[in-house]
Amino acid sequence: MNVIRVLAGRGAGPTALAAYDAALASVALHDYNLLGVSSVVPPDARVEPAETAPDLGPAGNRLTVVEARSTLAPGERGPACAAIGWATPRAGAGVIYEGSGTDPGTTREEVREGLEAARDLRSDRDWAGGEAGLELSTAEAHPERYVVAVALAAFGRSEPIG
Amino acid sequence: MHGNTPHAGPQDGAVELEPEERRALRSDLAAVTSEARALLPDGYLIGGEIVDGADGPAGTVAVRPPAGAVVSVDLSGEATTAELARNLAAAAALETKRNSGAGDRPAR
Repeated sequence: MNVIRVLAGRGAGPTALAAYDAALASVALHDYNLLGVSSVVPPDARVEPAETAPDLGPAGNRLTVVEARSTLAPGERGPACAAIGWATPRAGAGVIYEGSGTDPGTTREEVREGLEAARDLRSDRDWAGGEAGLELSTAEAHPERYVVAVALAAFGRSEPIG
Repeated sequence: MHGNTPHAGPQDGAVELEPEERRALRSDLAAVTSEARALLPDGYLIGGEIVDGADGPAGTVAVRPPAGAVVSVDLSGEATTAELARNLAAAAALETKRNSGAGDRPAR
């Protein structure tokens, strides 16, 4: 594994889970079993934003992700916001932080602040010589449907689950 | 489709995310990031951000200087990527100059 793809999606549906499934479908991750991990970028990996996931293996496989999700019930005030931010140093392991909420500016700031704290915690690395980025997805509220915004960092390819 | 009918609200199922628009924006973002990085010395952390809002995706390039607050530029309007990069680098350098001295903080 040496590519971590950052994907931002959104979806709507008659239930919260259906809306989540639709949001995953918008970035082509709806046929994987997602396994959440905490937020470290391995030293040999690079982070790449993408519009949708390419073919990462057979449906039903396990895919490792860091995920942010925000769900709005019908009529609930929004928008739903989900963000993934990352920072990788010139050399060594990087970090991915997720954030969610109902205000784009607040959600973005939450992720920025988290990344800053993460870099402070890892002051042994040269962050200024590395890479950083952030992707934030929003989903507008709907009077009759659940809506979900997701942002995911998908690690490499999927693997058989059993 | 979200980008073409922003007031219609989301529909059931997958929602298209204006891939061409986002690709173009990401390309501009990378260009500004790269050009600003070339203009600034070591010690400045530069990152691109894409916010996918109701009016379509919007891009921002943010710089954390070695001293002072984050400065950023939005990718909108008529400015070229070179102009945006120059403006961003100048703002970041000025922010450093204003805040260097007793309040110095290490580069991250």
